[in-house]
Amino acid sequence: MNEERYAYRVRQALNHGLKDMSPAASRRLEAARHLALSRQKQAAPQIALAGFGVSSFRIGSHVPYLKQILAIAALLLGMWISFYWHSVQYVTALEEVDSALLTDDLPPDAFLDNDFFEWLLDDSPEE
Amino acid sequence: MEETTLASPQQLSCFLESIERRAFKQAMFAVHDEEAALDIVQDAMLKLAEKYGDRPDDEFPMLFQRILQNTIRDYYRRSKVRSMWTTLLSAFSSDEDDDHDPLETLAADEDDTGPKTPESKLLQAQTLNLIEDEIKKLPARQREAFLMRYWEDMDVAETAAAMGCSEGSVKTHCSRATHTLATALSAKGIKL
Repeated sequence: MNEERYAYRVRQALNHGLKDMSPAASRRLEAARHLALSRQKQAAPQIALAGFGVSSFRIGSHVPYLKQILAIAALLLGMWISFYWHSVQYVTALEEVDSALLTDDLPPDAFLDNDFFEWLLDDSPEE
Repeated sequence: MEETTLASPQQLSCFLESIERRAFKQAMFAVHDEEAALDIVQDAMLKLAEKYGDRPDDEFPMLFQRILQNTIRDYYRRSKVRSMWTTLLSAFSSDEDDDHDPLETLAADEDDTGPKTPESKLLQAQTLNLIEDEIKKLPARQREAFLMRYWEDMDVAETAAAMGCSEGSVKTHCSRATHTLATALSAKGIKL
């Protein structure tokens, strides 16, 4: 037996049976379809810039993978801000120590700190 | 780079219109109750539109079939619970059935039969009934695979994705379903 051929004969018979559906069932199906269409999920709202008239510029409609690109860009920006902030803090701390040294404003306890002396003797460049 | 085209309301409408009758029949084969089948199709349509209405339209057949089969399974589960309570509470229920209107049924029957009464049409209808009865008798997974593959025209991969099984299983289900149908129908004198 040719399975596919037999299956398509069954399919033809089933398709024939679709014509004899009761009007009540047809109406219910039509109503269900309209109800479903009224609740169709729309594509995610896109950011549109105002003032571009009818052909306004829409972000997201033409560039594929835009969400991923934006997410990676945001991550990189966050990393850069974090790095920059830590650098600024580090430089500020060094500045405070340097100015304290230059103005002889160090507390006597600082000279008792071995680590501090080691740091003063260390000539290697910081960066 | 491949660009996906999201479905418009018109595309969804065309898709639903193209499959609604077959979906109704599929549900009927599974639950054997017209009202329940209509509810199932409505639920499946709503779920497709609400959850996946913004997907590309070429994904609709597979998604809809998966939703439809899951909705049918949910119906089975609910029926089990309901039948348990019905059994428990049947002693207190009345025999009146307010929802059933004999005139409505009669009118629907008249519309159905209408002017077509030739013998050939009757035979055709009887054959169709026998085929549908045999499809109803198929094991659920075989019936699902057979109908998706051959009635919904889905390929093996799509059917496997909709059923959540391997492509090999789909082929096995389809083959067994076809053989079972052929044997049962030829035993009743129907040669296709």
